[in-house]
Amino acid sequence: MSVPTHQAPKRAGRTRERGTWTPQLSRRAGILLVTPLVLAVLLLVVYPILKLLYDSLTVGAGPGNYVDAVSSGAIRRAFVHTLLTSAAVTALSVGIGASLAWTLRRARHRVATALIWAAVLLPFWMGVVVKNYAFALLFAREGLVNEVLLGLGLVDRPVQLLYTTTAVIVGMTYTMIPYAVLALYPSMSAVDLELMNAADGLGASRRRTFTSILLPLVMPGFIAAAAIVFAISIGFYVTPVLLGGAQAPFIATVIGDDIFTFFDYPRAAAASVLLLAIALLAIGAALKAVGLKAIRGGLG
Amino acid sequence: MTSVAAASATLQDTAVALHVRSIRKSFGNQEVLRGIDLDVQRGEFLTLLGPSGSGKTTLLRIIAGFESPDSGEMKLQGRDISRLSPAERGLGMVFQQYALFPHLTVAENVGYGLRMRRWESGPLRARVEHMLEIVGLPHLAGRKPRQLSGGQQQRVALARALAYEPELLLMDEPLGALDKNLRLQMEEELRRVHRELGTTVVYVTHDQEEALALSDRIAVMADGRLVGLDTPTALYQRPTTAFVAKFFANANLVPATATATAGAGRAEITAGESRFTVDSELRGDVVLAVRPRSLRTGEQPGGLVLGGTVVDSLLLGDDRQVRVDVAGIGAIVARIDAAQPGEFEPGSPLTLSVAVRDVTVLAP
Repeated sequence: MSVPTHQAPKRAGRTRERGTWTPQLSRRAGILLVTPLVLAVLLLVVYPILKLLYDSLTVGAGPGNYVDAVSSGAIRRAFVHTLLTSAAVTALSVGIGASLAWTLRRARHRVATALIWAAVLLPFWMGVVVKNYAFALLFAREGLVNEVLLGLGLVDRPVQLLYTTTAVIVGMTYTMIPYAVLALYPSMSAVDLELMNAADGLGASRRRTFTSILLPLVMPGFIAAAAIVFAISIGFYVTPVLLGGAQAPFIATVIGDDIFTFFDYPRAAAASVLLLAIALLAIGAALKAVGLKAIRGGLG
Repeated sequence: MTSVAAASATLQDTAVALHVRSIRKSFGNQEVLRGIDLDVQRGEFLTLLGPSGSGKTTLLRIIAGFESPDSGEMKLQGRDISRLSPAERGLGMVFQQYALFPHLTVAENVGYGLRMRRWESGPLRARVEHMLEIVGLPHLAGRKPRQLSGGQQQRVALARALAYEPELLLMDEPLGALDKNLRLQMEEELRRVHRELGTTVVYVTHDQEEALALSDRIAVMADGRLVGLDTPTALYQRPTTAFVAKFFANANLVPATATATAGAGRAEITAGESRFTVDSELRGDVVLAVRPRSLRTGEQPGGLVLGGTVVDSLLLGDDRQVRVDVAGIGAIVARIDAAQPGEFEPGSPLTLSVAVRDVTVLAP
């Protein structure tokens, strides 16, 4: 045990030890320092989730809350819409993110690289309302997109862009691309570019080089990126409301309505647990497929 | 150029595996290759030797097709390859860091080129086994590259590059990452594989000992130019430029003056106190290339005599390397028999001399 051996010099030369710096913390100091974090996690993360889980099973109709939630057409529709939209957002974000990450990997020009990074990270630095307001302006009836379409003579009258699923997908994808790039970049920068040359020299076409060498090597990054983007997407609240309107609400919106408008807290709790379970399932499946390292790389 | 190069020029075109003409390449403002002409004979082991920055790796990558030249042409067995992709050129390449595919097994790595050539699985497996036997690794077929030592990875890279019997094998400092013992062992291995398979090889290194041990011919590069192309023996004993003498044979360069004298093609050389006549057309300022091992202690009548002070003395087993500061000339390095008696402490006076036949007169 390390405790007695540690205490021995303390008794012998307490004054000498006080001024010296050692890279290793004593066990007691370590526990003391980590306690606030553990308390915060317990209080702010673990307790609310457990309370939510407990409430969803005890208040209202008890376990029947889940039956309530699943049998509600509005909630079922919202789930399907949320999952399908999130899947589309995931595919788009990972696709665009992959080409951005690969460009960043290959770029040699320092200024160009810095500009791409800035463009990629910009959505991170903007408030969610600002981002969505920008898209609302672009997609409005007299917005820039419609003006361009009209000016080019592609359409005769303004097209309905705002309050469509397309607008939601575009807005969410814009928000999620940085996550995808950050999750993909580590696995892409780990790929030795000489491997591409090697495959080329051995007679592989570009497509074969991509499918037989690059893709298998960056696959963990792809899976990690997809899981992260999907898990975050299904919880979106503001963008679907601002860009999608009331037509086809996201599940988070329906849960919000249940709580604040209909005061149906039990059903909201059950739906929330289901949503959380789907997110955990996505992350869990990715973890099982590619391991913790790829996911952690994606989360920074 | 000397006899071998002249002889090879008269050989028929069919003996030329790779024909390189006027290759130029710049990166930005920097001219990396300033017009390279080179013919590689079929079955030959040719080494591109030069210090870093001399353009040797760029030339190799241009031959492989990973870089494109600004101008010039390349022919492989008479076929113009200048505009072909690396895949279409069908060469074998061994990379400095091997570039083995980390997610594939040793056997899959070796068989990759064959798979791209759509070999049937039966013959493919047989060839992979055969290649692994040649490089002595048949028992490691199922391993992943990261489970192999550096020397083993090197062998896999070699087997992979040779599996489809390319017309030309290119190697970019393949032994650079190995420690010295392993390097000597791999040199032997490379010689054996080259002997057994008879593949034409273009090999890049900055290590002159490696070049000496492996090559049929050596192309010495400096500053984007080919400054010497000959057999190792000829380059070593009869260098044609001061750079080759210095870089390749570690020769001392002694400044001297050549003046006309009786007899055509003869020159009288004056270097410090020494005066002698040699066969040379050069006049005016010249340099005398003197290899460290051709220097003797004491004076030899009629030769080049260099008197100075010992700066440093290093015992190298059978040899002793002495650095002598000669007034008006500079530091001279001599490699003498360690058994030779004498005072070699720094500060002691020492006279070195070399016979006229061991002096090569070169343009400065």
